[in-house]
Formats: sequence, structure tokens, C-alpha cells
Amino acid sequence: MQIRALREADDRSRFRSGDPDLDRFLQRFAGQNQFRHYVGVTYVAVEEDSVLGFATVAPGQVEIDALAPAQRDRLPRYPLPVLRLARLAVDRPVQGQGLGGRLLRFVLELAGRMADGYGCIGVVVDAKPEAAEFYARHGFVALEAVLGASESRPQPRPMFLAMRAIKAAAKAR
Amino acid sequence: MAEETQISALVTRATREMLERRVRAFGVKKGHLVEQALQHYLVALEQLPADVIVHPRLVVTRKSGEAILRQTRSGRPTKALRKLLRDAD
Repeated sequence: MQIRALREADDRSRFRSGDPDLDRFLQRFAGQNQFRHYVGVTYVAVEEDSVLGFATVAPGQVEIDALAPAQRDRLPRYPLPVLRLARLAVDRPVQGQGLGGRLLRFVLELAGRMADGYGCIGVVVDAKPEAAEFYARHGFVALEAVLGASESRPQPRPMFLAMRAIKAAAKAR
Repeated sequence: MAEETQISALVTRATREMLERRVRAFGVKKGHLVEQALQHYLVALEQLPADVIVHPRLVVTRKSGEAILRQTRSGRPTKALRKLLRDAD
């Protein structure tokens, strides 16, 4: 099994995660996003030409609304760069076998390289309600968005994991 | 030549500064750049439904911002996160 960037020739038609919105995204929009609009990249877990799971990421920035003056002085006066994990799904036949975790690990390692290369304070995931516990277990904290939340339904909750924790966990290997 | 009309809009100071930097750097007219940007954005919106768009800018409440700052300064990995990254080897 290999995790790599989506290719135009990848057959996505058989992918069924159980969530029609995620399946529709992979089948109809992930390629457009990546190859035509360049607004995000989808990484796929593939084995023998079958897509077993995917994770879609895009660079983003977090701004804090109405920060108190004392806090504002301790922060850089520009938006904070993050890697945004917009979607993650696993094909039904291989659910429950740890592939979601392997995709998440891939994304955290990607964020680590982004931090080393050009800056990233952490990962923001748009967590569907049923996935919030999975992310919370890995240290993500829930955020309340004022602007820029995902418009999917049911509305995902943005959750944040700091680069500090990712790097500390990677060092503890 | 297409008929032109005027629009006005309130934007953030940061957006205006970005626009002016770009105009200075590339020597294009402000109106041309705004029209190009709007065209790109609106055409993209027509081709992608709103629910599949990932907004690059997320503005969070002050309380959430404070949580981000705490995590950034002193966040420690959970047991599950350590296990997840340890299993990579």
C-alpha cells in the first residue's frame, strides 16, 4: 500500500466510504481542485490500482478575532500559517484497519515538512461530527469559527493540532 | 470592447495593501486586476459547489485563539499521537 498524490488516471469510481458527500468529492471534484484550480491536493492510499482512502489538504491561515491587547502584543501581526486537512475518508471494505490513522500520520508529516520549509504552526481539520472524537484523541482541540468554516452539511467543526505537539511526538520515536 | 461599469466595495486594509503591492510590482491597472481576480473566483465558484471549497482563511473567536496560543506555546502530544507517529517506523 502506498500513499501518494492523486493522479488524473486514478480510478475513483469504485470508492465508497459510506458518506456520499466524501465519495462525490473524490469522484467529481478532487481532480478539478488539484489539476485545474490548484486549490488543494488529494493524497490517496492505493493498492493494486484501487483507491483505499484519501486525504485532501490545502494551505491556509488562521486569524484571531478581537484578540485582547495583552495577547496581541505577544503574537506576530500577520495571519498564522496552517495546513488545512479538509477531507479524509477510507473505503468501506478496509475501514477499521488503521488506514485513517496512516493517512492522518501522512498529513502530519506533510505539515512537519511545511513547517521546516516555509512555516506552519499546526494542522486544522474540518472534522465531521462522527470523526471529532478520533481527532480529539490525537490532541486536536475544537475551534469556534467566525469566518471561513466549511460549508458542508452536517457542518464540520474546525479542530487544531499544534506543530509543537506534532514535532514532540515525532522526536519521541 | 465590453461596456464597463463601476462597483464599490469595502475591503479590509490588508486586502487593499496586497492589491496595491501587486499593482505597484506588476504595473497593471487596479481595475484590471480586480476584474481578473473576480473573474477567476466567480468562474471557479460556478464549477465547484460551495461545499467543496476549502476556505484558505479561517477566523476564530478570541477564546479559540487563546486555545491555539496555549497549544502553540505548551501543547504536548497525547498518547495516541505519540503512538501514531511512533508506528511510522
